[in-house]
Amino acid sequence: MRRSVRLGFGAALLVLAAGCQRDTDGVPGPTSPFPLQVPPGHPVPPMNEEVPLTTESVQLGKALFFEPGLSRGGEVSCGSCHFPARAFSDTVAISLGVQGRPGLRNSPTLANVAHHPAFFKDGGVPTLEMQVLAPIHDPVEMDFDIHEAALLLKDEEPYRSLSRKAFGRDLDAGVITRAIANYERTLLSGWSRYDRFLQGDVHALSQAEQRGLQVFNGPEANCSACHNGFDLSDRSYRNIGLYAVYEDEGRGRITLDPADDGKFMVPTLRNIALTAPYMHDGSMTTLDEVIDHFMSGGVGHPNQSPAVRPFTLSSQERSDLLEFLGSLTDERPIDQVP
Amino acid sequence: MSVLAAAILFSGCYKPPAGPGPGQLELTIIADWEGQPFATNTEYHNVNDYRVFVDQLRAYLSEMRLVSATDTAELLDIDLVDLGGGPVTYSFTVPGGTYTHLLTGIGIPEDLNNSDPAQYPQGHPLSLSNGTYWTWTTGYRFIIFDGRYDTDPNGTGNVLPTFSIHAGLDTCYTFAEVQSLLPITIMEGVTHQATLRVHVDRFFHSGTDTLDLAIDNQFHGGSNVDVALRLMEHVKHALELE
Repeated sequence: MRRSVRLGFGAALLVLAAGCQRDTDGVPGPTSPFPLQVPPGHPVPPMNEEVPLTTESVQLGKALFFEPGLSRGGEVSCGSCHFPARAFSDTVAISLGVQGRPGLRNSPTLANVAHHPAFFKDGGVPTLEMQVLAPIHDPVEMDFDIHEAALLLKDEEPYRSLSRKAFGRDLDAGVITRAIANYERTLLSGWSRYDRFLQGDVHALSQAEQRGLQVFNGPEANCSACHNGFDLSDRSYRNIGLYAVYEDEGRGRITLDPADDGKFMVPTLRNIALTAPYMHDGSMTTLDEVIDHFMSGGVGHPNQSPAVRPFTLSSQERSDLLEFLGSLTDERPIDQVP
Repeated sequence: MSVLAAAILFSGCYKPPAGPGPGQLELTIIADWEGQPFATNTEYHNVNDYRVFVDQLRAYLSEMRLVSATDTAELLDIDLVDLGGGPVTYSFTVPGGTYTHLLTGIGIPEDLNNSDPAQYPQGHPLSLSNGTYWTWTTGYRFIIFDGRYDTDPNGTGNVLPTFSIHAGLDTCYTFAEVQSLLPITIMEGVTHQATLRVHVDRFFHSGTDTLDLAIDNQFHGGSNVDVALRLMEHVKHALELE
């Protein structure tokens, strides 16, 4: 027999809150603010006001990011699908989770993810902390229980000491999500030759790359209609006419509005030369294919963005555009945590 | 002076008129199929005369209240009920009175549905360990209704086609008003027993609408939310208070 007592809703919530482990349960050890380096000209990324960006929390987050113990059977970690050398993206169209199970979408770069207003290509999750839960519990990714993972790892180093220092308590679900989210907030991109060019170094881009920049912004290709701002993304959700019928509803799955079917968040183009394959499903392996698609004007899906319409480029312009895209690669690692 | 003393004396002894004291309510939730105890992995025939085997049936009940003509007694904030796991009994302390019906949310209220699930420890109805949290968006599956069906009522052997309706999303949250067949009178010192019956056979139909499993057999979020909304509507009408 299950026993329960009557509680007013408000009282029950208080009890709930009291029962939860909070950051104030323990006293964090001495911590130091993480010396975040923000790319010149970029805004400071938004932070979680309740979780200071400390060196200890970020170090803990990095250790957890590469910890296979967060997956069932200890097979994969976040880092298995987000390679630092690939600007924290994957090299395959669809990443494989535990037991080789394929996921649903291409693993995106995590560069500048701190600036995203919502997470996943459909924007279905509002915070980085809540995003962390998804791959851990997704049956086709890590297929584990974050509580079980915490129990397995909490007495191991560096988790035991870093968790107590950073959060004043042992590793638990809240610590895991907050620490990984804090680490991901430090993955900032903005140290490319393109950035140096924007800051006045006219020699940072070759002549071909500078011509490519003009094509990028020009009326024909007009890539900058959507890929603009410091992160080369306007964060809008757009259907780019990739398919006549989308198996993946994209934004429509979140809004339940058929007018949003096949729409995905415009991705950043930073480090684009490193993040192949492309598109939400990794269906294009080269930037040449991507340019071909946009020049074709898409398949004419009813929800297709008007910004996607046929255009032509000379072979020189096309070559220059590719050169320019190559200049968007950071000249230093985007991982700031030693 | 004597008047003042008398006033003090009387005020010290005065008690406001009290209502009946609180009593106990034992509420048992029982799932059935056409009057028989419901069990998973058991062959049933639904309203379409399809053979149906339910593999998993779990649902959130929330904001449950007992309602009288003048009062409302709050019973349960939230729980995850395994309807295939046999009867579940709750014990509540309820203010005395005569109650006519029960209100219950089916699903999870919006504020809880959008809260950070990492804060709920194992054992809590909203814990991630229950496997009810959706990973692709925020929020929980309010009802997990999984099984297999066969459109041939005389079919035999393995039943392969599956149905899997995971009704969730804030838009699916619904309230059921369940009239009690007899008034529930709560009195001090007395334990009243009541039963909330969940007629699983009615999950497929209510009013003029029928969920045809040959067509309406999947929902995991997305544009066919209509299937989930219809299921929630049927569930709302599948409750009975005895």
